[in-house]
Parts: sequence; C-alpha cells; structure tokens
Amino acid sequence: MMNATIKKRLLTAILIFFTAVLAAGFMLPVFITVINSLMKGFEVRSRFTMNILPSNIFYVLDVFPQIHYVRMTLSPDYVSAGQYAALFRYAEYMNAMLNSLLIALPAVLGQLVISVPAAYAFEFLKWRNKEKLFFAYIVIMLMPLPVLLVPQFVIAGFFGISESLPAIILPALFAPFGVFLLRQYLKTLPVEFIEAAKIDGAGQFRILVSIITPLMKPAIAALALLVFIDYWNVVDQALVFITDIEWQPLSVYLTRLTGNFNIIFAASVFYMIPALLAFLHGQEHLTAGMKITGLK
Amino acid sequence: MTYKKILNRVTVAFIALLVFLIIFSNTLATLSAKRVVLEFASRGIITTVDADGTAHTTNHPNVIPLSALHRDGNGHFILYAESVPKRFGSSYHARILRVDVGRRNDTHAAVTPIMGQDMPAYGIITASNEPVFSGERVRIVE
Repeated sequence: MMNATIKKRLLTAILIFFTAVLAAGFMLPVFITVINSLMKGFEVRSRFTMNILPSNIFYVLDVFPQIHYVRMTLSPDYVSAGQYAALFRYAEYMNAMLNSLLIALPAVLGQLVISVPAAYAFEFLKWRNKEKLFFAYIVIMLMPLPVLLVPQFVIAGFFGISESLPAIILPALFAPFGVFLLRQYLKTLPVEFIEAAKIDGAGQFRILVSIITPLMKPAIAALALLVFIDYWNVVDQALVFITDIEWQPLSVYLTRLTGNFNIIFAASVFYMIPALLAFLHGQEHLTAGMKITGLK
Repeated sequence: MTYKKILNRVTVAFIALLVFLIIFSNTLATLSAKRVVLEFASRGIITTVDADGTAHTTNHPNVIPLSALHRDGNGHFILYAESVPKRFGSSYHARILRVDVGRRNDTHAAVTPIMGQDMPAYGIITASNEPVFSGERVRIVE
C-alpha cells in the first residue's frame, strides 16, 4: 500500500518535472521576445548581428563568448520603452494591425452566424442526404489548405474580389470546421429540450435562438476563440490573395520588419497581445468545449 | 480585485489604446518625421558667364534651386515629396529622381529627368532638418 503511494507520488513528480521543462521550452521564445522588446535598438542590433543557424547555435548560449554571432540574454543592458514609443508612431504597422482585425473579427462573427444554424439543421432537422453532405463537410475539413487555395483563388477572381480582404473573409464564413465542432457539441444535448419546446408551440427559429444557442455558449466561445486565433495568424491566404502592402495583415507584414531592430521585438509582442487576451477570456470555454466535443 | 475584473480592465485599456493608435498613428508618424522644405520646379532663365566673359542665357522648363540637387556615385538626383493617400489622412514620402544637369549658375540649375521620365508633379525637397533618404516619411514645413 505504502509502496503504491510512493510510486504514484514519484510518477506525479516526474510528470510535473517533464511538463515544467516542456512548458519552459515553449515559453522561452516568448520570454526572450518580451525581454528583447525592452532593449534599445542598438543593443538589439549588437546582439543579433546574424541569423541563428545550426552552425552558430552553440554560440547563442555564450558557450564560446569569444566568438559570437547571436547573444541572447534575459537581462538587457538598459531597460527602455523606446521600441514601443517608436512602434506607436509606425503608421504602416498600425495599418496592418487594422487589416488583421478587419479579417479576424468578421471571420469570427460570420462563421458563428452561419455555423450555429447549420449545425442545428444537421443535428435536429430531418432532410434528405443530410449525412452524405456532412460527410462532404468532413472531407473538405480534412483537406490541406493549399489544396483549397487554388479553387478559392479562381472563385475570388471570378467575383472580382481578389486583392481585397473579402477574398480571405468569405471562405472563412463557410469553413466546415465550425459546423463540425458545434454539431459534436449538439450531440451531447438531450433531444427532450427540443421536444418540450415543440410541445409548447415553439418554431424552429425560436428553438434555435431561445433554447439551443444559450445552451451552446461554451462551444460557441471555443469556436470563436479558435477562429480568431486562426485568422489572426493567417498567412497562406494573405500571401496568395493580397499583394498590396496597404492591405496586408500583420501576420504577413511582420516579416517586413525583420531588419528593423528599433521596433521588431516590440512589434512582435504587440502582435501577440490580442490573441493572448482572446485566449485568456475564452480559455475556460475552450477547455469545456473540448471536453464535451471530444476534440483535442 | 478578481482575476476576471483585472483581465476585463486590461482588455478595455488595450482596445482603447489600439483604437487610438490605429486612428492617430499616421498623425504621430507625421509629427515625428523629418521636416523638409519644398519648392516646385519651374520654367526659368539661367544665365551663365564663361571665363572669357561671354554670357549665355537658357530658357529651361525645369529649373530648380541648387540646394535640391544631390550627387552620388550614380550621378545627380533630386528628392521630391510624394503624397500617399492613407485610410486616415495622407502622408508624404521622399522619392528619388535621377536627373541630367544642364546649365547652372550660383543659385539654380536646369535639370532633365533621365530615361525620358517626366518631372514629378510634387514639390522638390530643397532643405531638411536631417538627411533624407528615398522612401522615408517626411513632414512639410513652410
């Protein structure tokens, strides 16, 4: 008995240790970015004179300080908010930030507006070839994005919306993932809710708006969060559809700042904040939604 | 104060900052840009005097002040301030134009854009508080 308890505690300690190491590994780039954002431009320039390559990775940790290319640190020589001050005057960056918001927010709202009734129709309404169509949804969902980009590009050209944000937003509205996720959640709801509402004389629209949607809040929040982060970090579609710098989202525009040592790290930190805030607001719903829908 | 309340306040503050920056970053960028003085190229008469005292007069369509004329390893060039429309206002950016220099006197020079280009319809930068490079945002002062 005693042995079993010790064994269990030891196992837990080992698991915690490995999880902590793994978490630290994942968090290290974020920490370094935040710390570097508090350096002055010249210090960043002096520390990052070359790209990190396999050939010079050992010098990163100051193992051989006499020969260094990149000198990372967790304590800047001078703490300064200069990068942020410069960033706030960088109009092109803020324009790209606006573009990202103009893509991510309509994508989230639009996908919710379309996915909620679609999932309801797939789960609770009876119509012909429902399961066949849902199977088609899953097949499309499993397709890699580059495969879908070509037809999307052709269709956007046909409607004359390529080179504009709707070329990214419109396909996002009809993404099958939202319908799939919400339907998985609806499967967990008892049908008695619907039957009771029908007996009380409620129509399909009333049932959807007043009964089902409030019950779907955790799944809706989880979907909103996932879609927001997905389209906040959109790169492929933006690269294919938008060539005009004026309309590029921040996820693509950020690469143009690579050589701009005066703002690059502050720009990266500022770019992370909206996604981070969205995650902090929705993390409870996300985990709850994942548990119920069985998604990981 | 609970975690949720702090998170809500931070979010509201961030959104307010973001809205402010998106609307006013163009203005902030212009305020901190290098200040330049502009002058338009105009038709003018350039009079030069040779060493033997002979005076030459040229009537040229593009006469600019000498302070607007620069030179590097590739020859002469001028910088002009191009107006670029933005979502919230517009901004001026310095652009380079390579030119051939014709007659010149102590104050002005006659220039012709190379490769058959037209003279820009924008003002030419004749002075600045700091060295200006092509592509940089500039602020026009009177």
